[in-house]
Amino acid sequence: MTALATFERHYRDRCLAAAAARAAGIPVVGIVGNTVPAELVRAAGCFPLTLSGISNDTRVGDEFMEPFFEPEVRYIFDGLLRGAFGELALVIVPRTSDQYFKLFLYLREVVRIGRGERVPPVYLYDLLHTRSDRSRRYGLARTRELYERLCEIRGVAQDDDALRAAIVDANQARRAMQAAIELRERVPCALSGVDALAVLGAARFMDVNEYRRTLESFLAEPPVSSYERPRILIKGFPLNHSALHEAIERLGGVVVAEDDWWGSRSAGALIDENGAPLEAIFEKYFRDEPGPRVHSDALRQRWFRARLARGDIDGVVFYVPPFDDLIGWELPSDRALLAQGTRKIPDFVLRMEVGAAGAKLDEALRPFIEGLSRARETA
Amino acid sequence: MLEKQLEASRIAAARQREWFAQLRRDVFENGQPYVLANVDAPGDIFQSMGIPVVPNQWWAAVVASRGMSQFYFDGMERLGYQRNLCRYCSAGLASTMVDAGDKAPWGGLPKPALLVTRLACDCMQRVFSLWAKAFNAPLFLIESTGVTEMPLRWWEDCRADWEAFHQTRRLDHMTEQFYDLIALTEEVTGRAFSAARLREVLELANAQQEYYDEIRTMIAEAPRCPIRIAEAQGTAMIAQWHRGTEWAVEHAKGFRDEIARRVNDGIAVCPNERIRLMWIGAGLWHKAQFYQAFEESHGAVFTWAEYPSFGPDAYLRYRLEEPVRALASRYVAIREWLHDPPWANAWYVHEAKRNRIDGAVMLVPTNSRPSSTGSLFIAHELEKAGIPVLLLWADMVDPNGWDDRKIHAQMVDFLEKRIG
Repeated sequence: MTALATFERHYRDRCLAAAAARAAGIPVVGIVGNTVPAELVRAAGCFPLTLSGISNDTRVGDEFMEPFFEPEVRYIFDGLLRGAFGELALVIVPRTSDQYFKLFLYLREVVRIGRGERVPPVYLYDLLHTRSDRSRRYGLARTRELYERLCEIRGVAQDDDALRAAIVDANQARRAMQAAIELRERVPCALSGVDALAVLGAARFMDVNEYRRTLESFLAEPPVSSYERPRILIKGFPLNHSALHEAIERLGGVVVAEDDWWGSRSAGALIDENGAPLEAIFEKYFRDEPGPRVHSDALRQRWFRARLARGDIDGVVFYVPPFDDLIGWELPSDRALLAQGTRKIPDFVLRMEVGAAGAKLDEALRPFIEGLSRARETA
Repeated sequence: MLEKQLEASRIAAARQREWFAQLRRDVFENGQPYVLANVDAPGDIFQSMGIPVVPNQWWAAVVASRGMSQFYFDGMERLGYQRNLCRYCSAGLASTMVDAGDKAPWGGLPKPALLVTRLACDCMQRVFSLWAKAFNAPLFLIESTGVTEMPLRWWEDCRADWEAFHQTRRLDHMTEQFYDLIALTEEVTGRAFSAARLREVLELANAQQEYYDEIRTMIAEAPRCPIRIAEAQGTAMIAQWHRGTEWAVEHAKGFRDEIARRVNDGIAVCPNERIRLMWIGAGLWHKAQFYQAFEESHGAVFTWAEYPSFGPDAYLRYRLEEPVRALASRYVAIREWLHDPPWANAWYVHEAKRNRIDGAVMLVPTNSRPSSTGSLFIAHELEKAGIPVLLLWADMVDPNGWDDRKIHAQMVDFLEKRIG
């Protein structure tokens, strides 16, 4: 199996590696979103599995979770009620979005009322994402408590050496991810957006060292590709699937970046390997991970602004699905940025849910992508 | 507009208009400061410093009750803000960003000295950041920590035993933030804070809530509902924004006396009362007449709404030796009590039983999601307790999407088939 095929397999079958770990006697810990430090889970001798997927059937969860919740949160809630992720020693839900916090409360409540027989123990990681000193101190204390709780699973002692080893493993994987991201950023682009999502997204489901080895092998002989197409950046609701990328690339564009934690921002900065390890891990998740509660607006917009400034983006697709109640507040100021450079960058606001859009998605995107292609040919 | 039955309502409405007109004069003519705050921010601190507070949600209700929501939300759409963004918390922002000229309710909001909100949901920092930018005024954000220990009967345990009730780390964090807020307020307004004065304000607030406690008990125990609950809710809410003043205490006392007279005189808003309904959710500010639409036809009377009950249950605080910490204990979980399981469900069921409720009508505003989450758990627990529930998927300030005929049919079906 090629490295790319391995990534595609794990990106598709997201519980595969977790099942193998479980079979080998390693407890699996479910984590929600991008702001739970997987390094702590590994340092405690457990396997971190990001709970994520797409489901058209959330009937079990729908009895208690209102339909305006975002699809992934509904999927996780429903999946945990059904026991769809296999046996989990713990599920960690971060406070870094309101919907996640509600997920935590809802999971507790179904257990309290006797309807959550299959729900594993649930833990709230109360990481605050406003960048004040007070939030930092509060978050660091909660991170210590989380590590303590994780160590209880296997009865291991808290150990700085184990934390340092976890940092090194994660940094090696992140370096390889940064190299993969660089392939996309080349002009012309050398890695399609669809492939990039599988390559980067698989990191959340695979064993960290197996992932890194596979990615190194992929980078040693990357696919010989050259995408001379309109270069698209996607900004908006985080995409845990490739339906939008597939449509854009089917229509003749190539997605070279996404302002979300599944794509271009999945690796982020490395963790400091020289300082106190627990604090270093905390700082990464407090300062570097994107999330809806990051404040201020300027900080939230920083990556997007910097990425546009490189001058290689031909068009921006803003993904604002009907269930969104956040991106829409930022849309006018984000769109205003597109006119600030030496050339105005065209954009398209996509307001349908791509996971359920089918052929309508292509219809909606076609004029925009074809317009960019024509402009590119003219230029 | 509904005709007011209570003198207390007329007094409150007049007071509010007069107070707001004075506020505008003070700000525009005398350069006095005021604070624009979300409803879950500690207004008592500003009250103790002699700084008027305009609550965001009260202003949203003013906008809606003047029929201006549609105008403002259309304007926001033209500015690029999609229609399905949170409405309740952003109607005030819209009234600042969209120029209504002479049509602006009560002349519109002047520039505040400071804006304050609690980050109970992810929209708040966005709404208030835009608002602060529009006014070019400073913004203070109060972080909202996550709760993990939730003893059920908060409405009993929190009045005096709040220190033991709340998780220490959460209470510490909220208290520290309040001191930060006080420091900023002193800096931007030049007004000095006094803990002793805050304690006096909290004692006045307690006296006001104690009258509300009597009012809600009289309403619960009267053979038939003595007042229109929409009127009681509106009146209690207006006076609630003046919490901590002598005026608010006197008003609450008058309100209590008026209810007591009506109960003693056997006055019922609907002599034919057969079905007692509970209204769950914020007030239906754009359609206040809805609450009495089924009195004549079905003898169905709304006898319960969040206010006045939420005041005594959530705001009362005894043991005021450390007033800032006592105040923090009120706000550290105030949204969760009202909207999140298990706290919200437990409270609504308790109140439903106490008020002999036959059925509950719950507003689920999908465009104001923090006000909607927990709805299905609340409905589940009420149904389990034998109280049928009707969910109305509609907004409290935006009339767009409210279909009179459809909702009327839903109500009739609910009253006739579910309650009988």
